[in-house]
Amino acid sequence: MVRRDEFVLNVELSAEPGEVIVLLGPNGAGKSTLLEVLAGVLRPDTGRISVAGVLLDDTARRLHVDKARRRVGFVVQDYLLFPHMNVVENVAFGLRARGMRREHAQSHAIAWLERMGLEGFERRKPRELSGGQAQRVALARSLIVDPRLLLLDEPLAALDAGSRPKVRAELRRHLESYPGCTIVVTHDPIEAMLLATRVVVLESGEIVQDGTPSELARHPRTEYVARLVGLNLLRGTASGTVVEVGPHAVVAVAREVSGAVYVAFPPHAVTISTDRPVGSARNVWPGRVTDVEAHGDLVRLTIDGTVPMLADVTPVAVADLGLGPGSDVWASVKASEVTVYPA
Amino acid sequence: MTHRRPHDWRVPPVILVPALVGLGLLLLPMAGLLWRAPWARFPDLLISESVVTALRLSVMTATAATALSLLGGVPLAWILARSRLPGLTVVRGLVTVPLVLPPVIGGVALLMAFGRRGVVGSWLDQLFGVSIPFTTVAVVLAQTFVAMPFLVVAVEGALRTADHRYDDIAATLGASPWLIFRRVTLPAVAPGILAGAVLCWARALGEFGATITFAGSFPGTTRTLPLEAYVAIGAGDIDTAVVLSVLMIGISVTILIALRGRWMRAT
Amino acid sequence: MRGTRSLLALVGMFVTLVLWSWLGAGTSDDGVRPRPGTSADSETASGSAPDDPAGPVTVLAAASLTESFEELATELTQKYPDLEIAFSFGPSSGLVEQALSGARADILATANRPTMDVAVRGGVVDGQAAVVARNTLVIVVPPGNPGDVTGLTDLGREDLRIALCEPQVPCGSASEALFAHHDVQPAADTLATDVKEALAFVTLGEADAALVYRSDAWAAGDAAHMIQVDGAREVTNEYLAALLADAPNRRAATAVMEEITGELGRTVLEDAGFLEP
Repeated sequence: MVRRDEFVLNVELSAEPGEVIVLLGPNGAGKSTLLEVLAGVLRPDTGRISVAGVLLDDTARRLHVDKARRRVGFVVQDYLLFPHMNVVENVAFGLRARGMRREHAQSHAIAWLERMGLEGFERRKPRELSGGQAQRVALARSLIVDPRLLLLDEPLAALDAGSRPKVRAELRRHLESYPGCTIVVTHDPIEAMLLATRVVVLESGEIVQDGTPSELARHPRTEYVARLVGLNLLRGTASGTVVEVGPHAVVAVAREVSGAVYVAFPPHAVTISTDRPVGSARNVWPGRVTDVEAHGDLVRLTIDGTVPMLADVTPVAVADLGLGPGSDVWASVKASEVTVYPA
Repeated sequence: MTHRRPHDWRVPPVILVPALVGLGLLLLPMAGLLWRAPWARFPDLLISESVVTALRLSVMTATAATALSLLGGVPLAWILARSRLPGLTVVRGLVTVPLVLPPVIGGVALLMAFGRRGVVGSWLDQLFGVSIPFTTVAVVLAQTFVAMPFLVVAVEGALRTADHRYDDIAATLGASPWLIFRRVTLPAVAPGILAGAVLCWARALGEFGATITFAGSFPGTTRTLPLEAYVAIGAGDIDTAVVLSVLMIGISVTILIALRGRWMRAT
Repeated sequence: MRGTRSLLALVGMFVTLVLWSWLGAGTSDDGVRPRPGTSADSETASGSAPDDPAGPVTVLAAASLTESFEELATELTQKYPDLEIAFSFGPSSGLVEQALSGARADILATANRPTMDVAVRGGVVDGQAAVVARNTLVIVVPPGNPGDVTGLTDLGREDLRIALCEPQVPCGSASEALFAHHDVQPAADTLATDVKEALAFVTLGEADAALVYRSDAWAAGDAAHMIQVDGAREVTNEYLAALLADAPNRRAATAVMEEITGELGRTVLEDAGFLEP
């Protein structure tokens, strides 16, 4: 646990070798702080950190392994390659710090650069590299000293949108070949889905969800995650095929459940009409449009009512129905489109 | 930068007139020196024995004072910029006191500390029979006292602007604090250190009040360029005083132009 | 909040300094040059007569005359309440340089003849310069005489810290003459431009001995111990005073000159350790 002014980070997390854990969360959730604690840059106020069976921090025993002896690799968003050293010197730095002779360290570094596809860049200065190249140099610099744990803080945030997919694919390949555990911090859900074997969602200093990327995409447990994966999320009490999500608000679901549950449905499953519909849909709620914005080739409506939700409709529908902020509408969702899972 | 504001040559008179008065106040004394300088005798005076002796002593002591300032000032700046020791704000304030203190007061303070009856000086005298006043060492100490704050302030500024996360990264790679300081921190703040050292040297070269109070004035031992100029004025030898002044102004202007052009921008 | 508080502290300090410097002067003004007309003594002194010297008189005087001339000014302003005497003390050659550069002053007083001669040759002096006093050199040592100095020959000892005057200034040339007279090779550690500078090193205890004017040693009181030099009276230097040609307040300045060279001046100067002219 780390306290910093008003902010408290309280996290319990264990990971297996070979796992790539993506820490996902809004700004200020404590993701970077968690990495700094793991790297030993910050000291926890209370808690224990052990990696691969080695205890790094235990406040109960007043134990703290200095950041220089933790063997935890740390790659930050802007990579922070030492600007006055060339690429080889950067990569060889960790080996030189361990007392390895210069020629020896540099030949190791050159081998790593080849592995990273950076032949010919050995004598370049960091400022002469592209973002993706700099990232690979930073990775090589961390990996060359064989860390027990690899930490990546927003590894793709500094790249322009055009080069991001290619670098992301390369990063994924490099992470797959790294035997230790990796923890990646991001606030980009696509990055999380593509890199992670496991996603941990952090909000206000607490872990709110922990699971595989597909679990996360199907069964979000917080409003933040639901927004990220593009679902409407409601919490309620189920009995039979009906879930009560608020006073006078119920959602019909396709299968029988009971107790506290989450219900989720995608915005595109919502049908909007201005008159009360008379179809097969069992879920029909009145509401008022509060916001209208473009969303891909659809239009996303924010609807306030007994059941607040987002709804994606076609631009044609918006025009035909004359929708705008303040329009009173009926929203309907088929019970078969609604996912329900225990809270 | 691809976009630049067009130059505007018009300056409102409300600003221009006081600006010219201010500029005149700064430049006229120097112009006066150049006007009064005995140009015909200039080369002879420049190589006269007293001037050459004072110049040699000044260059030697200013360089030694700068070296001493680097040795103590860079680590001090590091502590001020990076550590979280208690009472650092007070220390920072005290370090900059010599910047605003009249140098003569600095000289008196040095006597109280290192003089024969001073706190440290009496002890040095009794134990080792060493007495600092009236020696070249005293000149170096006086110059260091007055000039080191310039270096500390410059280096502390550079260290604050430098990104300390580089140091953290180096540490996670297994580097010891000394290796980090040497291979990561120092290169990052090298321009700041260089600029600070040059300013420090220039200030040491111009040191007068603390030197004459603490070290006295004896040719070849403690009489630096500014003291030589003072003696020349006292002896009515205005020509020598003017020549020395022109020499000092030349050195200062060269240093400041060089700093403006290069290192100031780099930091 | 914090910024406002430190600003308040700064303003507070500034106001305190201003009030102190303007109002504080009246409370402890002993020994300091009195302000003409404000001193209570001036009320009890003889009232001003229409012919009495009046107005501001500026005197450029050698540093070694500081104490005696300030005493003289006190006496004179008691005698002539409307007189205001202002001093500029400094090394003689510097004062001459000021006079030659057209400084607005009425009287010039130097610590030797050669410097006065420069002013005379420069045409800034009105009439003849008068010898007002003579001074001779004495050895001063810190109280307790840590260097066991007994005479001039001790100033040749390398193991002592010796402060002398720079040969190019009057007290230095006098010192050189004295050493030559006694055939002593001095071992100086510092050459002061100003006799006060040499004396200060002795009173601070940093120098074991210094050769200074008798008047300066006198002024130092208990802070320094005086040792007479045999034959020192054969090497004396003259103090000269002269009216300046461009004196702004000629009438009052002439009166002040008469007082300096007259009985009052002689008494005050002798009391300050100078020899009669």
